[in-house]
Amino acid sequence: MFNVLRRKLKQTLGRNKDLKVPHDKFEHGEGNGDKEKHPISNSLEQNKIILKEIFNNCSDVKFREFELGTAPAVKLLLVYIDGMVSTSDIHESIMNQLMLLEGLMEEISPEHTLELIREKLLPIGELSENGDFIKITDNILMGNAALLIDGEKTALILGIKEWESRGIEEPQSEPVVRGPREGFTERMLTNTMLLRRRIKSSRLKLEIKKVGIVSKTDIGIMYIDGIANNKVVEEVRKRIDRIKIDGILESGYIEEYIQDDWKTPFPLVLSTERPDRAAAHLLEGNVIILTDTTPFALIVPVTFFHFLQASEDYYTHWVGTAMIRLLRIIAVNISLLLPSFYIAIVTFHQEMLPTALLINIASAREGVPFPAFIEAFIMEGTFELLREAGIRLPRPVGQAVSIVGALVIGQAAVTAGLVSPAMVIIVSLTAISSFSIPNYSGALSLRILRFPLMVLAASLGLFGIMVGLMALLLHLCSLRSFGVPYISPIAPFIRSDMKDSVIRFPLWAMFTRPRLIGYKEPQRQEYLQIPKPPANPKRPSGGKERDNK
Amino acid sequence: MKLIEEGKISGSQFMWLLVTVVLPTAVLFIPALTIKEAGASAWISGGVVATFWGILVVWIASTLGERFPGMTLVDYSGQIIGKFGGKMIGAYYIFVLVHGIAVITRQFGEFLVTAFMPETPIIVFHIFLIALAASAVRNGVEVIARMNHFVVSLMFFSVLFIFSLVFGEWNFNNLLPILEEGIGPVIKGAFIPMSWRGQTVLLLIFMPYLNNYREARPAAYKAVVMLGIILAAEIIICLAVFGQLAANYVFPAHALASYISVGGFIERVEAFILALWVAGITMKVSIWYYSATVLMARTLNLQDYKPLVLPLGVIMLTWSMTLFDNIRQLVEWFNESGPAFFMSWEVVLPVLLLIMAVLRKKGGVKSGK
Amino acid sequence: MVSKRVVIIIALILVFFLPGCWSRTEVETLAIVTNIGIDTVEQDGHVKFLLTANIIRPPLAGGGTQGGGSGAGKPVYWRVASLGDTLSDAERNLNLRIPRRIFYGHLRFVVINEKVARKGLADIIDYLHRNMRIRPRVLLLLTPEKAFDTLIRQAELEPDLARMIDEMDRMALSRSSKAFIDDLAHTTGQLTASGIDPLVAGITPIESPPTEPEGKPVKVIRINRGGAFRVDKFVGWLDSDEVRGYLLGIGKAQSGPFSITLKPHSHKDVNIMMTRATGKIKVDTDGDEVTAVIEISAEGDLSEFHTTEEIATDEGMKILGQKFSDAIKTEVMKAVKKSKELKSDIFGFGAALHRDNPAEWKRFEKHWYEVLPRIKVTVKVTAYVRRTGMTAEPFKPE
Repeated sequence: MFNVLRRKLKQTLGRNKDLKVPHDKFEHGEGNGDKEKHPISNSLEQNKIILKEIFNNCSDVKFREFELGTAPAVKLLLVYIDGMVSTSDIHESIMNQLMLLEGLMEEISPEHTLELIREKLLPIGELSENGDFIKITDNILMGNAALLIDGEKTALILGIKEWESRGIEEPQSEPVVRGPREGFTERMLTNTMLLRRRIKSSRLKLEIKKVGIVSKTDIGIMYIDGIANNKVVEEVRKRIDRIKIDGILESGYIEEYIQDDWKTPFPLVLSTERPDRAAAHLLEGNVIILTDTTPFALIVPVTFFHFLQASEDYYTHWVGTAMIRLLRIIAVNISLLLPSFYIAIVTFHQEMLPTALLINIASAREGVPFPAFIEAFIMEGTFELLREAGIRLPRPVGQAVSIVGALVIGQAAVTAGLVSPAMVIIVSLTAISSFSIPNYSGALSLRILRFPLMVLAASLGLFGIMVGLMALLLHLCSLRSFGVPYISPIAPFIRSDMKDSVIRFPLWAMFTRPRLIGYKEPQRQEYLQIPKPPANPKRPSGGKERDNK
Repeated sequence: MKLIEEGKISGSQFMWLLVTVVLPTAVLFIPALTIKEAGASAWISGGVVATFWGILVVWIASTLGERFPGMTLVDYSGQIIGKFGGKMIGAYYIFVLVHGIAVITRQFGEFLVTAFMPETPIIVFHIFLIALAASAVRNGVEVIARMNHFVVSLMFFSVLFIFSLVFGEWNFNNLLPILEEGIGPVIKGAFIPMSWRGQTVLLLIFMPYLNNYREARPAAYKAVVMLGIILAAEIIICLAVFGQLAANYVFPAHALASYISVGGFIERVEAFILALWVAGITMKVSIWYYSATVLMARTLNLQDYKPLVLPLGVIMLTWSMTLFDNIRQLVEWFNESGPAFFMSWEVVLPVLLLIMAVLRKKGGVKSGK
Repeated sequence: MVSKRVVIIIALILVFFLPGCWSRTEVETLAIVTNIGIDTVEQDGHVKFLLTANIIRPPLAGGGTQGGGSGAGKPVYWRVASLGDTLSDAERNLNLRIPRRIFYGHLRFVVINEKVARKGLADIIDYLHRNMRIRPRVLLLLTPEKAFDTLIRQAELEPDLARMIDEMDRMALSRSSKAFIDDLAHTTGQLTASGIDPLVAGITPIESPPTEPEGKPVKVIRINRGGAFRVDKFVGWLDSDEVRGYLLGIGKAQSGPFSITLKPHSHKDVNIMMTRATGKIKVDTDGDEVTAVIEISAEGDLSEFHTTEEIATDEGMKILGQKFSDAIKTEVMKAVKKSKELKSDIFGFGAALHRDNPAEWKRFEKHWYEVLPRIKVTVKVTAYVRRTGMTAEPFKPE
């Protein structure tokens, strides 16, 4: 039975691997026209007919024909997509300049129209020439305008992209108390700008790739040359190039294609909405993958502990942060284990509880009709339902759900004798703990794993939980994210990296970059810059410098 | 000489592997067995005598291993005493390891059934243990080493935790008189810990995976000394808390944990012990299992060891179920045939191989330069 | 490959989930036993064990939202008993009467009838140790009445007997050192070791006058003595002062009041509150003579002073210290005397000899209980009175 299943999976995978899109239509009109050439002719009429055919039924594509204001008027055709270009540029920088020519009439000669327009007439920064239909089409679709000139075999591509996009706002998914309020936006160039503003170095590289045969989404790979591991960068390029898909709508698409293991519930790629966080990871040697049309950037390689870190950890005092980190570790354990521990203890190891507590639990469970496992399952299930409902519903209705939920879980279920009060405490503790894990996908994996552990606990008690945990540990140990062991500062144990995992050391003590990620240039700061009071407390701190002079 | 697997481990991972090769079951059974023989001086047998023995075993094994850097046991035994001999040695070690795993598994199952879940059939525990170990083995030596590092540090913490929480009950008068009956009982009591400590001979299997084979010897010495310290401490504390009574318990460490009561609320932590040993013994079995599988693949000249994992697991499972009729038979096996069984592969074979290698001038010469 | 493993694991989990779970017991199906009593009765010419258990009645015991109110005033424990040829038999026979599974995981103490203890404790201890749920820290108590009756006595201030005894265990030793409840592991250790015998705390059942307004007399227990054993057989009682002498001798005493006489009055006129004490036993031999030295050092504070002369001087404190050490010495000697009388080596002179001089111990081991009464015991006490409390000189009425 298993073999059949395996073979099926293999076939499915195999098909995906060498998937080629047999889309003949695209080969003519769009597609990546590297191999085939479709040169334009020097007849404007003919070119226009072909372009109209390409953009058949695309009513937002505008064809504007006009004449160059010279003595023998040269016919021009401007093609652009309405809404993706700057209208004022069309009016002022293009039409105005080309149509209302005065004083240039004498010098015009038909052979040099193109040069003339390019060199003297168009005040536009981004300007290129192209003589291929496919390239021209692509450019138009990207938001550039194409200017075709009668009698020329090349068209001018005018970079006047401009479209409406959301401004820079505070990131919704990762709020902080202290720290920058800027978040990534849907526009990739804004995002690269946000990163460049934080890292003003020519070593910060950006490689743009287009992924998606139909959607042609821009994917930007950012890394700091000399800090990021070249092998990782190369691997990222390779994995992104491997993606053959119709469209990329969010970085989640990329994430699923580039992660090392598709079966694991754990996220192997970190996504963030915060440019400061992305910049911090760039400095540590990670590679950032930006996707156009989504504010979520991907960070690789990551370890499990990255999911327990928030960017604020580095902006607030280290003692507090160290404690909060410990708290998060406890939260991880609670949200993963508490319900199963409760089941195991209440049904197998009652001797572990203090007598008074056992008596209380026993008396509370006296009227409950279900075994502890079913009880826990019902409650955890209800909670997951409520949470899901709360996220999906429009905000005003969402509140109603939470009120109903609070009543159902907290009050009514207990009064009706369906569940015991202890179970309510367990569920709420679990929920609170899972909320305190800073990363959503990290918390999600723990939420999923809670249920199999509950089953194990219900069937074999603590032994079952341990079996589950060992299997989990085994799984975690075998995971890698772009070659970096997933739970790396712990297993394999790296002493120098403990500074930023379970607790956070003061910044001056974080002398090196993470060893497995940023080993190319391990040192990141002057050694031991411990803040000290001035040597002679009587004199002001500037006194020493004055003396030296 | 190609290795079966590409994995590489570091010196410290190697050391912890060797600690786990011995510790998890030792910590459970050794105190009762040694105290029974050696009384109040049991810590000398378990801690001192056995450690010296362990150092001897490590010396022999690493001298042998260092003569043939990067080669597996089967390969160089083949070089030393001929191809057929090498295969025979491989086969013997496979037998020994599989038998060992069966015994370990049975110990584990007996512990769980006796101390925690008397109603559950023992085979359930065996199946889960061997299934876990099998999947660890399939993941290769690197994953085992990494996992082990984590688990063993956890074990250290919990053992320390248990020791320190019974602090209030220590009575070192129980350790007196030292060497009451002379050295005889101490040596007699040391046989079992010695055979346990000698299990570090498995370093022969893991040496080829080391990044630098020179790290093996110091790491193994460290592992043996560390084991000595832990086991001596455990025996001392069992004696200090329970006195001679410790010999009556089947699992003194478990009794120790159930004796904990600090401030009226840190009580009843035996279940903690269970968690500890499930983790520890899974690792121990994984390491042995891996050794057996790799050896077998090498002996049978296979390219990959993975197809062997499942069949070997089934053999171990049946073996562990049918090996003993009752728990005392298990304990007696350790007392009577155990030492001879363990000595044969821990010391006798490595010594013979080493002597043959020296006499026939195999290995060592090239690597020496 | 991995997918196959996942499938197998899931299948395995399901398989174990289907047939039910062997060791699983829901908490509400347990009869939580907090203490048991052991008696023997004769029935049809056979000696049978009578096992009495106190079981917690969960719905009545606190907790819960509704439970608290309705159950107030009713005792939360419930006494049941059953007969059996062996203790295990009796234990399972309980289930012929109780619809819930007997659960020993929270057993706090075991009361053993004096007569049973006279016949030997070994059988009972074996039963207790073999059970996986019973911890080595279970407390042992002896009672002169039937353990069956002891278990129905009233627990006041605490909801049940088990918790009461548990707290008493701490209080008795740390407040007065006049009683000491030892646990199963220690008692067994002393029982099995040669040259030392156990002392098990003893209960005195009393009927107390009403303890609440308009109440009736209540039957309560007091822990004020210790039962000495020879090997594993109960031989006799030590009273509370002797118990303190014993505790001082073995170094377990912590604190406690010592009433002493400073002036030749008819009554004790000073009280020294002992704050710390250590004790050590050394045993030596000389031919057939065995000598033992008990070294005790103690410290105390003045806590009560009934006469009027000046005492808050260095001289005065020295005198008090002398009296204090005399009082300790007397108490320890009383306990030693009792130990010799009963031929019960509760102090562990034999073990001390074994420890210090194993060869000599070999000589005496065989006939130790004949040697025991002949041991010359000297008690060396160094005791100091350190402080005088919040007042220096006594108040003089004038």
